[in-house]
Amino acid sequence: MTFDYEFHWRTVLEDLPDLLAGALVTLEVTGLSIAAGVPLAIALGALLRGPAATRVPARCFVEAARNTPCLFQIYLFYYGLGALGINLSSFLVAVIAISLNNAGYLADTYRSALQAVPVQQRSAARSLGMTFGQTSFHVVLPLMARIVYLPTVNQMIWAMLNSSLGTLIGLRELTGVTQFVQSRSFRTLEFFLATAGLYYLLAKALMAAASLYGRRLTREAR
Amino acid sequence: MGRWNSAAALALLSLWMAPPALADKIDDVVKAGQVRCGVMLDFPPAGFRGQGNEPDGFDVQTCKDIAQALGVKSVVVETSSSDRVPALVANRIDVLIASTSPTLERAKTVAFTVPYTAYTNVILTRVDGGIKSFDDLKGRSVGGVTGTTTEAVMLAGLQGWGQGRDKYTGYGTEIDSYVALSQGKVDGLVVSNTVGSVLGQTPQFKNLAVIGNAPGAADLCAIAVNKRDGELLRWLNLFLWQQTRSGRYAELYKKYFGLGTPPALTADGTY
Repeated sequence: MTFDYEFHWRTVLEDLPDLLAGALVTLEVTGLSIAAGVPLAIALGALLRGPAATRVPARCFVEAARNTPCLFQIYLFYYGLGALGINLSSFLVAVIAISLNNAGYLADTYRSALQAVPVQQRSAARSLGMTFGQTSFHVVLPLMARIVYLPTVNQMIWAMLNSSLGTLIGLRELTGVTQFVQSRSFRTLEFFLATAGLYYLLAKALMAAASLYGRRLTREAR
Repeated sequence: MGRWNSAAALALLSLWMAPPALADKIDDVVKAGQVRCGVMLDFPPAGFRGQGNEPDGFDVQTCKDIAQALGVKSVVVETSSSDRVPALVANRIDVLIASTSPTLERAKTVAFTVPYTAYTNVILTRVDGGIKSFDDLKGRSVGGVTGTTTEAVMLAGLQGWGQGRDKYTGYGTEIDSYVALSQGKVDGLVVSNTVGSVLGQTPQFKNLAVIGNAPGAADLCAIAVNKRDGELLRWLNLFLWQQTRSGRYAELYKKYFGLGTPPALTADGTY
């Protein structure tokens, strides 16, 4: 392969503010989809441990969310709802679809984490006079947090990478902006390389932010 | 003896180091016996897959004509919109025939021939949408396909109305933008006249209609080659001149676009 090409990085620098604005949208979608996905996953985890009446519908949802492509899920909410006359914005659809995808992937993790909290912890808390809510928030969830911390961070990175699919339904996140600016100057290689680098940095930044919380968890465990 | 040896070695070395006669891209193509054309096969009727999955369309046929004129075989390489430049610079293709608008900005990256085809940009809207002209789209939700020339026309319109981009949605593919328009997510698109005429015959898009031309001149498209392939560029310019002069351009235009008289490949007041 011959490769006869001069890289023009200045073009990328000039469009960097646009790329960073796109990266901000990527972060917003990621953050919101995890913020909505985690409570959903906890609820699903509890439902999966319940009787057949709650377990079966929850299992059906998890199976659908985990075994279909995220792109298909995004299309379903954008064009599927559109066919019914419900038109949501690209941003809202991306957040909803990726939240549900997160919830589906995390449900079994949270179910097993719920299972891993010894039942004695719960009975002890209740025998001290704590209500169900107090027991959940002060005893069960903190114990679960250590177990689910790493898988949740993992899912957060996945959610960020999945958010790039939003560009197909018109979301101006990092990938969408990259497509736009590269078509203007045809500096495709420079922009794709720069964006790959930005995604890497975003992933590292998310992990660093999460570890601020994660360190506290492990310190408490010691 | 040693001296003669080193003299001979030096002579050999200088032979080896002498610059070879520079082979240009035309030489490479003729020697390889094939010309590789990058074509977008998701843009009918310029590029598509016909029966038997064979590439066909105006751009594909132009590639075949180039190959015939060079006396070599044609190889069509499918290049998506954003793979066009990487395919060229990585030498996976020799020429890019993909309805590309030759902007001065892009010409800093690749080299463009004279125009080989032209599109008129039209406004596509819903039959029941109440849009009668381009200016009726002011303040409405509008769409396009990210990174296309038709998108640039729409964005220029928004700017002319003093609007920001908040009412604009750029989709990933042409078909996505038609579905979005059909479902009422946006109220208008700027598309090529050639696409507009195909869409009218598609049952699922029967609620869409072309209501007239978008502002701006015809979109003249060019073939692209690598910046350093100057000889090939000159040859292609002559080829395109012959293509129009011989009537082949009009013939292919009628066959694929079926729109009667082919648009002039010139601009008013200049060549």
